[in-house]
Amino acid sequence: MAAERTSNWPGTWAPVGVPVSRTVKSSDAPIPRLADLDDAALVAATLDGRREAFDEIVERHRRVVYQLCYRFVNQPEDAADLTQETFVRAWRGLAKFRGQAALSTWLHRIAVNVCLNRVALKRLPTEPIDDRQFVDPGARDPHGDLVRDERAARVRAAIAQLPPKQRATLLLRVYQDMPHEEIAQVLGNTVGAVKANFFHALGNLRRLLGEQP
Amino acid sequence: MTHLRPDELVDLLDGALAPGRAAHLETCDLCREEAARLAMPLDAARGAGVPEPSEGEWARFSTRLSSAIEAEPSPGWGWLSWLAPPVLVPIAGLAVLVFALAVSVDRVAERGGWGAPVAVVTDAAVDDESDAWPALVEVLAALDLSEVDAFAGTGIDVRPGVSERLVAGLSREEFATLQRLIEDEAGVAHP
Repeated sequence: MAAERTSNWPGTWAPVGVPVSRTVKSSDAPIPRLADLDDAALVAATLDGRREAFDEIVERHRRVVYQLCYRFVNQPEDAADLTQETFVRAWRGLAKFRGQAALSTWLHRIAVNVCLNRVALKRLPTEPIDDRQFVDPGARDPHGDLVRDERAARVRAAIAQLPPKQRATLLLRVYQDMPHEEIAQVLGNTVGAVKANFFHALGNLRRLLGEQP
Repeated sequence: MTHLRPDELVDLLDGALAPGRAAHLETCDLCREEAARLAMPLDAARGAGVPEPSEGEWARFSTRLSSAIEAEPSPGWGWLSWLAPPVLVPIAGLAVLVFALAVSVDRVAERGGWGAPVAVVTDAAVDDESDAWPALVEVLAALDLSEVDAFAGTGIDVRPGVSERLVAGLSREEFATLQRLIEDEAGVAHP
């Protein structure tokens, strides 16, 4: 019969958020897969020198960060660049991440700042709203999907034409479901200014889209 | 009663309008129309997805990001991050070169100046009584060779502290060779 022992954690590191002491059997102590760890544990593991833990963080959050960046610039190559820059900055600043907010919130904050910096340096090209054709050859319902994708493309193009702060406010509120108070912190605004930006963003979006959604 | 302000219309969209103001909405067509006009682009935005990158695009993204991260110091080093190998390795090389040259200059001075051609770095630079030796060992001991890509896959043991042991174990001839290699890398001409 395998002897039981009290273990901190299998391996040489002790991730945050994991019970510090628990009883396990030495012969069948489970080696945790990175995919099973929560974000806080992955951050701790990364800071402990496990580079693959950061890869898992990227794998877990890259899609949402990419979507945020894509919506900001409406261009896939620039979105990929901005996503990469977001994770590089996250890597650099990971030791400063204290876990007061969710890791996803922290990453969104970095992504928005990366996007705002980019548009401050360079005016990104935007496509005309009414001139777009979007074809998805893999669609199962070609007509329905085409209409839906064209509509989505028109909305994305319109969002990309909003002034940067209105755009950031709209994206964080609508797609990241971030409260106005948190958006105010991210953008360095007051809550009143955030609500005003959101109001004007919707008004401008309505104007850019016309009255037809 | 006054119409809803912009921030109140935003609160309305969030379902957070104060009850007293919600009562106004029931009697004011203008505010209801304004709220509906704001709801339209909001619904449109919520329904607009983003094209998903293909697996190949994600793979290229991962490769590029990995390369970018490799060039960065470890995130756990804090203010010590300037000691990361990409920074420390060239500094260490330069430090070794400076020590070697300093010792050589001492030798030149002892021999009576720069009149005669002398080797910039010779075996004489390795002297048990010289300050250069312990300083060199200290500099190289700070290196964590496990972070240096050149050792990846070579089978060489590169755990922290290995560089210190390696240097401490060098013979006089091996150390002179190490200096020469560093000089070659730095473009120092041999006599």
